[in-house]
Amino acid sequence: MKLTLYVRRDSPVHALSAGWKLGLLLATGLLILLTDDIRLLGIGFTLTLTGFLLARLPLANILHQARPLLIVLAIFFAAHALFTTVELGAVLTLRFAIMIACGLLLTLTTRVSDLMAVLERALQPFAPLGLDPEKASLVFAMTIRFIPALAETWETVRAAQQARGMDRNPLALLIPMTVLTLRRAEQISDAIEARGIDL
Amino acid sequence: MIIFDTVSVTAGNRTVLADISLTLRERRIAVIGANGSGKSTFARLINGLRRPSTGTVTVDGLDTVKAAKDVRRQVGFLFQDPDNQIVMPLVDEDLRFSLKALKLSPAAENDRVEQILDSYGLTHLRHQPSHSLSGGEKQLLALANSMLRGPRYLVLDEPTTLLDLKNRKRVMAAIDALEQTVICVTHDLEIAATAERVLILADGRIAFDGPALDAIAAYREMAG
Repeated sequence: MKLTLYVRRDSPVHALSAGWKLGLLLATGLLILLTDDIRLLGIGFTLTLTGFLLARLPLANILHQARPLLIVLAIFFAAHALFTTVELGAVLTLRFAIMIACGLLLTLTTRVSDLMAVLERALQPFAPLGLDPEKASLVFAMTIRFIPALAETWETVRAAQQARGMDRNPLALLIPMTVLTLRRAEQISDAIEARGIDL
Repeated sequence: MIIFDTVSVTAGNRTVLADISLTLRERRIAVIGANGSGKSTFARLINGLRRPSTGTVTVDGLDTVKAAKDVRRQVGFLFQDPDNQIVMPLVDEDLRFSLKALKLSPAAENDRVEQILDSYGLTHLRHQPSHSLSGGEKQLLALANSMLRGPRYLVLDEPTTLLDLKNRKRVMAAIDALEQTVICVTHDLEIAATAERVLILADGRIAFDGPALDAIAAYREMAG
């Protein structure tokens, strides 16, 4: 399982249409900005976790893969607790945690093609302004599809530089990563064009 | 029929292909040559992914620059690395993505996807994440994608380089069974040996054009 990619399950969360799920994500984003009550945010976070259970997703596996994110959230909370207040740190950390969890729940339970279809419909009103809804939804799909691929490339580059004892040199990591990513982008663009899709 | 008419391709000051003129009529054509000899550019010219700097390439009379979209319906393309050719996260989503430009009805789209999954033995993988497939399965999915829109020609750019022996056999069996005209860019002389006609590219020029056995002997001699 890859953290950002669809996991097929027979569940009420999977059955909910992509449009509803995107709408709920948007509503959640707005609601958590309107409150700084820790209890309400705590309830929101619990409800989001309930969504994972309802979706029958492998929670232990997800938590394991999300470990770097959890570490960042923990550092974020600790910094606020030290330099501002524990309450403010808890509010901001809970807001981030809810949004990240909702985003993951969306991508883990919704096929990218369904999200693309909703996005294309939602962006149609902007077409007269020059926005191409098909291209915009394709960019979105590419982002989701290639996040794990980029992570794999990063691991490969890191292992190669580690073997040469250069894994602590940022340039030795960033230059090959950039070159490989650009080369891959060109190959993907060729592959999409070869399928008769205009870019 | 594919016609190259005095085609040259330059990139900056470098000549990638120089003054290529030939007509491809055979059903199985192989293109071999050293790294950097211009093989991939030659392949990409056939479906308009690369434009000639001078000259024209036509596929059944269609200019690959002026009628690129029509040419791409006639010419399927299989890349070396299927990971870069598979665009969508799930197997059936990826096939449907290829059909998007044809704007078929949902029923016709379903029929076409079912048919192609069945043809390449991929039906049991239809709901699987594409990244979880084996190398051979990925290349078969990429091949299925190339064939989905019913092309008359298929261009292969080193299709077996990243595959182990078992998967190479599986993919080549699927390619051998095709009725389409196949133009295969390869380093694999076993594949080249099965072609009716073999072109050797060297420094952007056609160094040899003839039957497979003669071409392979010439290539071995050129390689020293």
